[in-house]
Amino acid sequence: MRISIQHLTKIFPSRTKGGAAVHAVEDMNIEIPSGKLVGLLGPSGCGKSTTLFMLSGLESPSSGQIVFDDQDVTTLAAEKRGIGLVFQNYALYPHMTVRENIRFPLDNMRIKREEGNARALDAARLVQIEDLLDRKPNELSGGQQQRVAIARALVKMPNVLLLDEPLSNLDARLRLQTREEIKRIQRETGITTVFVTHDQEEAMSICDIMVVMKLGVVQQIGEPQHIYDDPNNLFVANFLGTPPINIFKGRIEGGKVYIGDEAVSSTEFADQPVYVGIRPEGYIYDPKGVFTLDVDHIEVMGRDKSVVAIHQSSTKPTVRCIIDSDVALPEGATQLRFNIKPYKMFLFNAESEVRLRVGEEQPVEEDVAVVEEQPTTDQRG
Amino acid sequence: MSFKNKNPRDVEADLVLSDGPQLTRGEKFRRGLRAQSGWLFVAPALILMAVFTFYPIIMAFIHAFQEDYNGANGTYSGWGFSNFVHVVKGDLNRGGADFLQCLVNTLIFTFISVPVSTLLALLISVALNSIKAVQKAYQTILFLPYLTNALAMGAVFATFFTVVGTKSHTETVGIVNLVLGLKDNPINWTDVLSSPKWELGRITIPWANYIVLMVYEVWSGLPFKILILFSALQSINKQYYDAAKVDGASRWTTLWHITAPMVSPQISYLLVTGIMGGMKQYSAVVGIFGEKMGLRYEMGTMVGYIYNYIGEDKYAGLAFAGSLILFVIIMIITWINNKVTKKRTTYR
Amino acid sequence: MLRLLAISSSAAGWILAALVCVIIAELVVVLRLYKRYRYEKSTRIAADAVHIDWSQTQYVRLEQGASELDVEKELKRQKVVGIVKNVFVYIFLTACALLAFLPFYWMIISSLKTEDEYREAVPTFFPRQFQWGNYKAIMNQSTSANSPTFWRILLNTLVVGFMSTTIGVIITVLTAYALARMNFKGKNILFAIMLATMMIPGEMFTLSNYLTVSKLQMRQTYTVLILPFLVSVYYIYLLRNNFMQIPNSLYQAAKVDGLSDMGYLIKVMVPLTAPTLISITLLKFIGTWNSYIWPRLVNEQQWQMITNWVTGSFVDRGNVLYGGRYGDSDPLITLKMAAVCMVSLPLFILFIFCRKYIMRGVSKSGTKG
Repeated sequence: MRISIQHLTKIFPSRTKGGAAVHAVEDMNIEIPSGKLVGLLGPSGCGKSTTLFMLSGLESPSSGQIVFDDQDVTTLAAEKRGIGLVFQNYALYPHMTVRENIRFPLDNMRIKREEGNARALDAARLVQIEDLLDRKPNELSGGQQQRVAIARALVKMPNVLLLDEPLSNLDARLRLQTREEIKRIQRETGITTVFVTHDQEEAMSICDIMVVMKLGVVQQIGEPQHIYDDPNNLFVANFLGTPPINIFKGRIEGGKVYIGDEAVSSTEFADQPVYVGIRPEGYIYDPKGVFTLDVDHIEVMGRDKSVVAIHQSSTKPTVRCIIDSDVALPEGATQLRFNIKPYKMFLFNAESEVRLRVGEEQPVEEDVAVVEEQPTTDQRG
Repeated sequence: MSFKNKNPRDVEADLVLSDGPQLTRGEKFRRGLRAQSGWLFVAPALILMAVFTFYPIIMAFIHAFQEDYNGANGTYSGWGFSNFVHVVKGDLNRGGADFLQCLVNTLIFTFISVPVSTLLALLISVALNSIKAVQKAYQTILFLPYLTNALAMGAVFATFFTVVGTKSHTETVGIVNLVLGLKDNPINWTDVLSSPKWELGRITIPWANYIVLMVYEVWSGLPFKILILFSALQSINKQYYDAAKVDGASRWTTLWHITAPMVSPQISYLLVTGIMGGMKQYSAVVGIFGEKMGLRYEMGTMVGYIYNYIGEDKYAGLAFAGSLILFVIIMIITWINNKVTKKRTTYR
Repeated sequence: MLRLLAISSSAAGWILAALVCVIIAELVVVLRLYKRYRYEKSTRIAADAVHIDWSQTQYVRLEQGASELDVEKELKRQKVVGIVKNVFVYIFLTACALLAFLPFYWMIISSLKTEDEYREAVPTFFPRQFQWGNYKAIMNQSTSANSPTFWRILLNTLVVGFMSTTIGVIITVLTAYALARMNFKGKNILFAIMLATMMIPGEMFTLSNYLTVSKLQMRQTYTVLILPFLVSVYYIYLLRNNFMQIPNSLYQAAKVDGLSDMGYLIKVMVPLTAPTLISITLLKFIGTWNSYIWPRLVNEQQWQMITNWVTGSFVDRGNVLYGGRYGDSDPLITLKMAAVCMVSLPLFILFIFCRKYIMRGVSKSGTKG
């Protein structure tokens, strides 16, 4: 099922009298090709769950359209859309057994008991809970409940599978396992899947397409790796990657990028104050390098080591550089010099925080329409 | 165990454990007494309960098995089950209440009015829960009959159903007859004589009268049930309804497969307390049908049966036997309830 | 005669049929629950799964639903269903609210009508002229030759209500405190026995108590109305649980501050459990106000309570109101309704002002009033 979201907007009226209405989602445009796993990523309150609920039909949009294949379903009731939804807290009916829970959508479709039971069993097999069918939800662990919720969503063979923060209620180990599981199930069934998460690592690891949102506005859409390598703005660059990107206040002067007094790279852009973002893995140790950092301490992680440093232009208290563990660093040095990999360094306009790009060309995924860039400084609070 | 107004040594003794300083016999005794000072607090309640609760219970069991027990002077002719036999046979009714009639009445009243009012309360609560505008106003009005005097309100209900006056004089046939279109040939719903009835051997079922009582019972039982169910409904996580919607459940399915099971603990609680209350029905019947519960206890209840012997010392044994039967019935209901409750879980 | 039978049986017959339906429905529900239980038990022996071919069935819903679905039509249907549903809900609730309120309205307007107006063939829904005389009549005249006046009855009720509420609450507090906080031998057994008595229907006590107070020559007094109902195990239980929730550290702190047990109870426990105490006080008073059986059994008219008074028949005594038109033997509905209003009014006022407390207490006990 192809999903097309056009100019989707959701405005919640203010709860208090005279207060400002909340724009939960604003003018969202996304094309989701059939059979893909799509992640809506953003910090809490960015409207990603609202988007999901609008896709499901539980929330109705204030304006804009949602189109499944060629059907405009914008105001169609949830039960008519043929979607499966997995809630953040699973919302398993506590008085029903697992089997009854999974069978419930089928019962509502007036499917015969025997067939319903058989299909429920198959869905349970898919998520590997066939041994738990006669338990009640409160006898299950969080991970098992999660699987039941997925089975319940899948058993009616939905056109679209929607997952709301599917991993947030699981412990760390289970989270890793379950996210593989979701990927596997999605691949096995081929159902177009949209899920919501605030964890960028989670989104990066399993998504085919990632949508980064902030305060109701889509910041960037694309393959995870692509977005990581080519962020549209400061927010996206900052939000993706662990450890996070290092950001320095800098300026462009005469075709050179300055951080503090050091010119770290040359550029074609006009003179202006900028933010310079450098990924932690973007540093190359060089005693004659262009960029000097005051070393705080060095953490050895085995595969690599990270230099935790201080720089007065940094927007964060510390700067982190990840370097191969083979690289020998001078013992007890208080200052280290680095060169910077050009493709790991991004320049952002200091005022609009938009990425400075060469010319007008923009990276466009073939099957994804990119939304016009939005300034990330947002007046809404 | 007060620390006030005590010599320091006593305080120390309180603090230090038993292997503390050596105590004289008298001190030990006093400390022992002080440890039991709780009895002083419960004494008033205990004395009152001894006289008005424990003693009567024991005596009820004894008197029930004393044959020909006379309440006035306490004489009896022997031990046995003759009281129970008389109660069931009804051969000492002296034109008063008949046990079988009262038992059947009580059971019918209870097992119709309680489920009906519970179901109605559920529907009203669901409706109330589904609206947003003026919800509070409806809630308040529906709770109005909450605190009422059964005898007073029974009298009011009687006026709805009763024909007052005579044709030659002014006469009103009551609202119910008017609404039912029986203006010319009214039924006097609260009158046992003119009520259509079935005769089943010893038992008469004046069902027009039954209806009056049940209407009252449903009306007076609703507010409490709505209160319980409505607050239960409000605490259901809204997500279950969203999930049901996504799962394609119709309104009807949602009501019976999601909402009702979610509040099933409250429903069964209401059913049990309702049935318990129904078994002890008395005041409302008196309020509507008078102290004789009809002409000769045609509308009698179990409790009515028991009280109909009060003041007649010669038959006190029958009253005790009747009360014991009521006790056994209530114990059975409690037992069933406990059995069912064991399997039940609360869903929040 | 035949016609009368036909009409009465057709109208009432429907109602009867409805009652029969209720019983059948109850049976059906029980049966269905049982069947379902049996079925669920049988499916535990897992049936063999049909393998779902996800690649094939993925669009099943679309073919069945969406492509055949006329979205326009569906949207219209949704809208209509939504409106119809709302209209139904509001009609239903309004009807229920009216029915809930009707008896109160009826009682008030009837109490203010003349008896002639009340007995008109088509009832008026608002009195033509307020007859405050009805209230005057019931308050100042006895209902029959040896019966007490309203004021005497009110005095009885207030005295008994005040005494039994105050003493009852004090006893409840003391007992609950001892059971919650103090240690003495036999405490748990005592508490268990007390709880056990809650299961025994009150009628069993009433019979013996009647004999007891007769023997003790206590009839025709206030004492007999007060004493037997001072202790109520349920309130003790409620308050004890409330006391138990107060952390023990407070008790220790109070001890260090030199407070005696009694002082701790009065200065700490009672203020902390004030809401429950208020609930108990209110419910106790309401219970006394509504008491009917016991006063009727043990006391003659002068010593009875207000609910006994309201069940009497109210006639135009001395032909003051209607000059002998109704006489001494024709009970007047309007006077009765005035009496009913008098009894209900205090309950109403209590309900309005103390709803929160009353509901708290009642919703826990599951008993009315």
